[in-house]
Amino acid sequence: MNKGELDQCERDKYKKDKGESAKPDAAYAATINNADWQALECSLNDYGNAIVPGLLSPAQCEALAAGYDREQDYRSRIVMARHGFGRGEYKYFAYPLPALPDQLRHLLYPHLAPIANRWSRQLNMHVHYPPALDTFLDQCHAAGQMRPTPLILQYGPGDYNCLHQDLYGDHVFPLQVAILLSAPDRDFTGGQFVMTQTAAAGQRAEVIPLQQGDALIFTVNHRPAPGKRRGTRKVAMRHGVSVVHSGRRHTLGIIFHDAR
Amino acid sequence: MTTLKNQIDQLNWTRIATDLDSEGYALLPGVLSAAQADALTSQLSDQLSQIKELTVCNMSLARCERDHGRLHFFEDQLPEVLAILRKQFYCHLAPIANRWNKILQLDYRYPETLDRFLQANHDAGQHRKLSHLHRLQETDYIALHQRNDGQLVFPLQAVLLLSEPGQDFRGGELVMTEQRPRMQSRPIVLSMRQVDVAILSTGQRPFKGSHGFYRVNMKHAISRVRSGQRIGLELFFHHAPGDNQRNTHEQGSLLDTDRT
Repeated sequence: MNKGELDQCERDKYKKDKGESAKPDAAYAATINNADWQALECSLNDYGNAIVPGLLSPAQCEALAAGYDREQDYRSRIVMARHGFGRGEYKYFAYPLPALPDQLRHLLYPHLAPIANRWSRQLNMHVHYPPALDTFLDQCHAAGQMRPTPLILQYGPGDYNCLHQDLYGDHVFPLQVAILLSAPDRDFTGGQFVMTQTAAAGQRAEVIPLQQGDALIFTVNHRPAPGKRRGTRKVAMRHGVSVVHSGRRHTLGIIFHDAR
Repeated sequence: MTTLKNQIDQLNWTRIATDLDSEGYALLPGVLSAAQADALTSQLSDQLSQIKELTVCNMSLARCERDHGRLHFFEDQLPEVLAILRKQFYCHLAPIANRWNKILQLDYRYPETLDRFLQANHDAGQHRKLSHLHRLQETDYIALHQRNDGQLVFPLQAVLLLSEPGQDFRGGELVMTEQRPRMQSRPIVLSMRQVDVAILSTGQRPFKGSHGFYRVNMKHAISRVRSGQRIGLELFFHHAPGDNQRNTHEQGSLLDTDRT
């Protein structure tokens, strides 16, 4: 679809398709809705990331990874070396999103919006994230951020992703999700998910251990952290992937704001 | 311990130099035999028992990001195994350090022996010893840092891991970041096993890009320990400016047990 823009007709059709393909029996829906969101929020507050283990089954992971070659599902392909982003490539899905990424995006958002709102208040940013994804996406689209951002990344031997933030315009939802589609040690070695956090006081780096099907919720750019004397300080976070030594590693990325 | 000296001399220093040039680190697995590792551990038992329950300030950062863990600085003589490693590594690394200085158009040339370099440190008022042992337990980490204060800085250092990943502890990965001019930083995760040694770039190093050499800045950190206990150490070839008394400012931070 040209520049990912949807006319009203397309948009209605996409919503109808989505309704038909939304199978409520999928285990991931229960996993998301029954997750211990209080514990996940604690981990997000302390470390800027939290793992939902085994969100997708190996079969779902492998189907998504195999779908990387279905050109018609994507709006664009980025070769990272051309932009100095690292080595490896990724593809952004086109609207309408395939059923699984679309449902994950819709199911995860309502749990994350309240956390995003609490972070926004603590950072005095005064941004209110509406309770439903579609309302938030309407805001993005009205501001010219129309292109879908969910993506699949593919790394081979020697590939890596530099530390970065996924920002695509003024509208930023402060949390995003990455799901590891490949099995460490079996499908690839190396390729570890790394996050850094930078505050006035210094920098930390953290490796996040992920298994196939695990979903990592993490900070897009900033999060509040406890400062000295009960104050709040703003911490900047970046994420990246260390070099893949062997094999092939796929990840599904779910970003909630759309791109300009 | 002439055996250890010979083992070090027989390492593939051409390969090590190539790795340091291209990656900013080199893994030296199996430098220490099991017997030497045991000797080292018993030589360190005193220091390990002396590590106090303190939150330690990372002194290379202008404003202190407190590391969460326990550190012991080797104020007096190094245990024998470490002293040999340090002295012998220096002989092989000084030519690499001099080559780097030449590429970076820095006038200083490192003397051939560690003794002479340490004398130069003392002459320059750099008396504060940097080599240290750490013991990290669950939730402990070491912030991203580089200890390259002072006029005389050796651009390489060694790190050793004394515990077995997966068995003695989980998490606690050694992470490096490589900052490049006008580019996103590259994250690096070193996979080390018990008694493995790695040589790291202390701070700045030359990197050969497509348009000649440029300067990259490297830092390292230890990721949060997820469970168990990680014992490791950092060996430095230079001293930091100042005397060996960790007084006033730093001592105050040592006693700051406020864990955030």
